[in-house]
Amino acid sequence: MSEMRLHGRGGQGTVMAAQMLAGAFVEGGKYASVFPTYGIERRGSAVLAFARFSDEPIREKTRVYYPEYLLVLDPSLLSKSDIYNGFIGGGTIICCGTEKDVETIRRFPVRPSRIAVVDGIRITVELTGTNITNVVMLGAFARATGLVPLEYLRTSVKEAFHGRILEKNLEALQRGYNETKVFDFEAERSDVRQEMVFEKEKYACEAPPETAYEAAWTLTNDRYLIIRTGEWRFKRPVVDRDGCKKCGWCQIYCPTHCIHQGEAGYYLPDLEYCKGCGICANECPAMAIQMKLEEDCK
Amino acid sequence: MIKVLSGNKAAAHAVRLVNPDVIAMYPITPQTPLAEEIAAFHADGLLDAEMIEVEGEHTAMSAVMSASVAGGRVFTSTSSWGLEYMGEMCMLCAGMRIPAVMVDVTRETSSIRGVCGSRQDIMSVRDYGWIQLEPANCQEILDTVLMAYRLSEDARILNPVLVAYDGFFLSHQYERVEIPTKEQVDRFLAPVAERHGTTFMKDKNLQFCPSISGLEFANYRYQSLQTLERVKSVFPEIEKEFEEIFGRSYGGAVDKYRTDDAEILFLTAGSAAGTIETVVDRARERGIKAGLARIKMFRPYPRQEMAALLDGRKAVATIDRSICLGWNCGHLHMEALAAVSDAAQKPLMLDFIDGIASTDITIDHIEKALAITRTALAGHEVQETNWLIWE
Repeated sequence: MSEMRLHGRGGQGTVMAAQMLAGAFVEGGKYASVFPTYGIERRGSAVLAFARFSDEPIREKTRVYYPEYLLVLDPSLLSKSDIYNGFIGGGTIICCGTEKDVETIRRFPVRPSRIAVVDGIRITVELTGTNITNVVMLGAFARATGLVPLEYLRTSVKEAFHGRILEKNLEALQRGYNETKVFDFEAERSDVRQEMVFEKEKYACEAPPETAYEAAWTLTNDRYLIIRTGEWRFKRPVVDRDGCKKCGWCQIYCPTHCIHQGEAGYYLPDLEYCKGCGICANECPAMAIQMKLEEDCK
Repeated sequence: MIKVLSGNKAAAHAVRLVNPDVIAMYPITPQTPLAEEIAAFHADGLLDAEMIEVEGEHTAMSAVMSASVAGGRVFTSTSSWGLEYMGEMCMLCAGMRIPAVMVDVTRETSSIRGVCGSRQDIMSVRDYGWIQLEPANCQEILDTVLMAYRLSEDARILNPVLVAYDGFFLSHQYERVEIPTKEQVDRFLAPVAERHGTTFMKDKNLQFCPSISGLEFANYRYQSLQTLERVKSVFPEIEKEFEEIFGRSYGGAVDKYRTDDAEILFLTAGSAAGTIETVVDRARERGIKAGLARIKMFRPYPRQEMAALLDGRKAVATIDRSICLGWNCGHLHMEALAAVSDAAQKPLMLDFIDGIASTDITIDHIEKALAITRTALAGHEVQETNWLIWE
């Protein structure tokens, strides 16, 4: 049995990618299972899904902690150490990104034998004007691993979409396959399974840690949880200072109230919290705000 | 036909194949994809049922009860607070001995407000008088819904059946599922095609929900109790017929894995079973005689079978996905304690709370439960109830 973890952002079709992949494996007579994390997801927030594939029926109904494959749907996630947790040495990382992201990955203590990159955002922005990279990454998976024929993935894509969107997605699949670049490294395969925990002496379970909302009637003044929603963004608003009339209209419309009047009276977004929704750009009466890809702002 | 389906979609296909006369339900997470899929089948003309859009779960149960009394085959489904909201009608449904099949996608209940999985919601149904079945994978979900109709509408039973499966861990788990043909399902359901005596149509004088007290009331209750006992012998017959038609077999009220010579017996219900089987195999490779008993039929509780199964083991380690408030343990453990009192040689009984609020019952957690159990067997003192959650 092989285990894979998928990392993406809400709205990129991460779970759907895993489902289509499972469909392709089953089409080929194998077994597959897919399971998303489930919470109160929002567009742009980090999400993950787990996939298993095997020649035998799959019994485990638990998350994947030791993935042999990592499929990363958004380049902004590659600099987060969490996504590499438990990654097995000698495994394969397939990611949405460019050649320079290969170096980003190699700065972390992971030992993949293969890294495959495809500039998925560029492809989907061209095809659909979105950052929904899921189908591109399926093409990349097929190319990088050789585990599932493109033909079976095409069948899965056809079951998931219809009409014009289907045409775009079939093109995305093919481009993902064609445009993936593969880099191989010397890496020894590390053991999948850790020690036999049940052979240890153990007297009790861990006690609960202190949490923000420990009990009803607990004072929580010092324990607010603040989410940096700025990391959900794949495009950012850029203000053209020649065009801006400093009217403050964008501040009124910003749903996160992250636009404030700053230096020289211009209204600027706080990028720690700006989700890149684009409402300000849409509403600006002077049309002085443009949404630009994060990649192009670095 | 083989497809990749989630637990919810597998249940929806079962409903499509059974083709109930009346479906009334209200969407609620994590049951919503099931409601959506059934609505899609209906919209596409694949399901010839009367769909009633209700304003809440209390009405959903009222509607299917009425339809069933009028002779219809019915379906509803819910989760968590929805289940508790229909509680009054659920009790009525069981008390009136109305054949009905309901799916509950299990979830935490209030308070705290958690949109997350556990077996907590169905614990309130324990004493309603419903038959409760808990499948452990997506194929079994589809198959169990089919069997639930045979059981519910069997002339010897005539009682509502609840099929409950883990929210998120099964409802949103996609797996390879074999979808049977309509012909197979029709053949399987043929014995209940003409439901006996459950309709007041056709010149019959029948009574439902009479207002009675004293000895007559007691006799009504007595009959309910006898009916639930009968389920224990009828269900295996239905499973056997199912196997003849569909080629898939299940283990009856208690699904057993490597239990024959097991000294340490894991006990659980629902989706954790598959993960525990992996740990059982790993322990066996190291010479530890472990096994797993999964309670598939939670009501009626397979008391005699459980007593025989627990008898003479060295230890029983229960992995519990719900908490029995006021008992300081989980429900499976609490009920196993009751069953084990019938056993001649009582094992060491330990409980492990895990997987509530959608937390993951991991291989690592189960191995730690086994480590604590073995430590206890080696003569060290450990607590009876252990919370694996924070490991």
